[in-house]
Amino acid sequence: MKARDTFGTIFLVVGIVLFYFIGSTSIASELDDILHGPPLTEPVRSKLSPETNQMIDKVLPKKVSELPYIDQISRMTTGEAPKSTNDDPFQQFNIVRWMGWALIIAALADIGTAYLTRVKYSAGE
Amino acid sequence: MYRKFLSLLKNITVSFEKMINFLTTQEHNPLYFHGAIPLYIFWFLIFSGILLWMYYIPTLERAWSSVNYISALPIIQKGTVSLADPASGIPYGSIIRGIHRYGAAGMMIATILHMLRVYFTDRHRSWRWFPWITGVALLVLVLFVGITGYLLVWDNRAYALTVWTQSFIAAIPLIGASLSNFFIAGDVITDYTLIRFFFFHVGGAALIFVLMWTHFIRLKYPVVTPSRSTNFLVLGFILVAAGAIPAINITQELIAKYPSLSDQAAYIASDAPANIGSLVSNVRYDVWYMFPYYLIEKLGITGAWWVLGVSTILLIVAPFYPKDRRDNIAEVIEAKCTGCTFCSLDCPFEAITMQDRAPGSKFKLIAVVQEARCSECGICVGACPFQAIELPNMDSKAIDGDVLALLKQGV
Amino acid sequence: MPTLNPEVPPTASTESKPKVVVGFVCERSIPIQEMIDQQKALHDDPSVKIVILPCSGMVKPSQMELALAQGADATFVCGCAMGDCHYRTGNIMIKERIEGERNPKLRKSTDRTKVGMFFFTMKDKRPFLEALAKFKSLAIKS
Repeated sequence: MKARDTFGTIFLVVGIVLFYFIGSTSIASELDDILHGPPLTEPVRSKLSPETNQMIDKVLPKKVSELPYIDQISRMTTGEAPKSTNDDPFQQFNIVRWMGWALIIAALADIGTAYLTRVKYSAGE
Repeated sequence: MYRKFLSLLKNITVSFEKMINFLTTQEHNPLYFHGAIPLYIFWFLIFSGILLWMYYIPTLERAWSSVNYISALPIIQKGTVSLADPASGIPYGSIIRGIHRYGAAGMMIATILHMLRVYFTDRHRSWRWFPWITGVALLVLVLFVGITGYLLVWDNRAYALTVWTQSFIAAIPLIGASLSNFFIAGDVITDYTLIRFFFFHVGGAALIFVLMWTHFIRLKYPVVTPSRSTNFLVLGFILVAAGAIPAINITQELIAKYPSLSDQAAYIASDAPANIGSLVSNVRYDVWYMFPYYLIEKLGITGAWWVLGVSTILLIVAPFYPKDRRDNIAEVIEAKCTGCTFCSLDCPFEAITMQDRAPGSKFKLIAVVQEARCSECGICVGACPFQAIELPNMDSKAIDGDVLALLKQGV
Repeated sequence: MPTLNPEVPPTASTESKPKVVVGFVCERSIPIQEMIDQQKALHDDPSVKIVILPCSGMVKPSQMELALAQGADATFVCGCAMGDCHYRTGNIMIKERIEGERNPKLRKSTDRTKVGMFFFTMKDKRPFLEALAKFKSLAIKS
């Protein structure tokens, strides 16, 4: 029982993290305004000094399209002109596929936990 | 001979499942939930179906464009969405349509696999005839509801299938012509036709619920929900399908606009709006769902009727052959029965009911066995603390005697 | 381990008494008919005696208690795999009766370490024998 709870907790946490990651990057990659429009933090950043802005830019760029890893996640920012998936709508179906695969991975994790914590019979101690 | 054949089928099935059991353990084996999976998928079909229902318009002019509006691209739109603007559409509509479309495909596959497993493990005969017959009715109904769902889109494929269905029904002697007119609500295809299809589809789905109830009614504690891992697997596959094969209306303009769309997708997705009077030559559809049309294409209408008719008759008579001996039906010993209801609660086939005893009796209730439903399993015997219900060929005293004899034997 | 009174003759010691296990096996679970001899003992382990029933759900907990009271060192029931009972719920019924969740229940005073439950398919002859050996080694301390 205890082994199953520990495994279960680990898989649940990993699953939640995966879902959050996939979900948040999907949303980030789909919201056209965030990529091309003014950044959400604009009202605050406009009141800060240029030096502070430069320091913050090192950690959190003003535009989502300037995030260091965004090219790996979303193909919209590659190429000469950043493209929204509104221009290539079949990219948007990726989210649904990813969610499907995430569910299948969760199922395999569930089955894997059951397999690893199964009652083993071996004669003798 | 036939019994040997059934026994061979069971052998093959159990050997296969033994391999799956090793990997997944018995609790998570998806094949042990073969009955629950179609019902599980059905819930998603109802949910997505109701959402699609909100926007579908069942007229010849607007059916295709309303489906197009629902499954418009891109999935997530800029600006406002309004019915007045033909370029806009429902957000995520094509995903809901995809869940509906591929869920239906999954439900049909799952239903057929369920039927095969029940048949292979010899669990359809004798006292189990009622769930089997209602199951055959459910299979036909799921097929019918699925076909009408195809027709609602009213694209070229739907029109072709409608024409074929008309000829198919009209081939029935005597009543064929009027049945065909009933099918399309008139002599020719009009707006009423689509409304009729719509009723068949939604009303048929409601009828599936009713038939499901009859399917379960002779089974106590029916398993209606698969295990969690199986739930995730099924939903995951439906979403992968919805994401991999967009459920949209593919026209030549769309293919020109998005070259990444291959012609393959049109095999599964829908195509251009129907043109009454002109049948397209190359109609493509899911063979394993629309198998009656495959039969019509390959064998002609008469051939298709023969195959479907004979298969249905074979399915209906399957539970009644070969007959079992039925000489070990459970018997209640009135003098010992206290009416405790344990046997009635435990009988898996609802074969034991509790009835009132004559007034003035020592106990209020007595167990009564309905012989046609008894499976001769003895679960009621195991439940009875008073040895008041027994299988005639193997009563409790004899079993106790066996235990004592075995112990006396020694090693 | 209780110490024996040294004045009692050694033949009275429990160690020389052979261990007997009584099993209630459903005829549709493991291929039991081919695993037993004329005396209803297992070929692979003659100390295990078998009572064959149409379904594991037919087993009354009182029969298992009878076996233990009349000299069996351990007792078990073997039914179909969970989720695949031929009669749908027999294995669930006996499992709940033994675990005390369904009437009639196995009495609380019965020694649970001597009561076993196995759920196997008709292809699981080897796994059953392995599980039985493990159960015996745990149940019978000699």
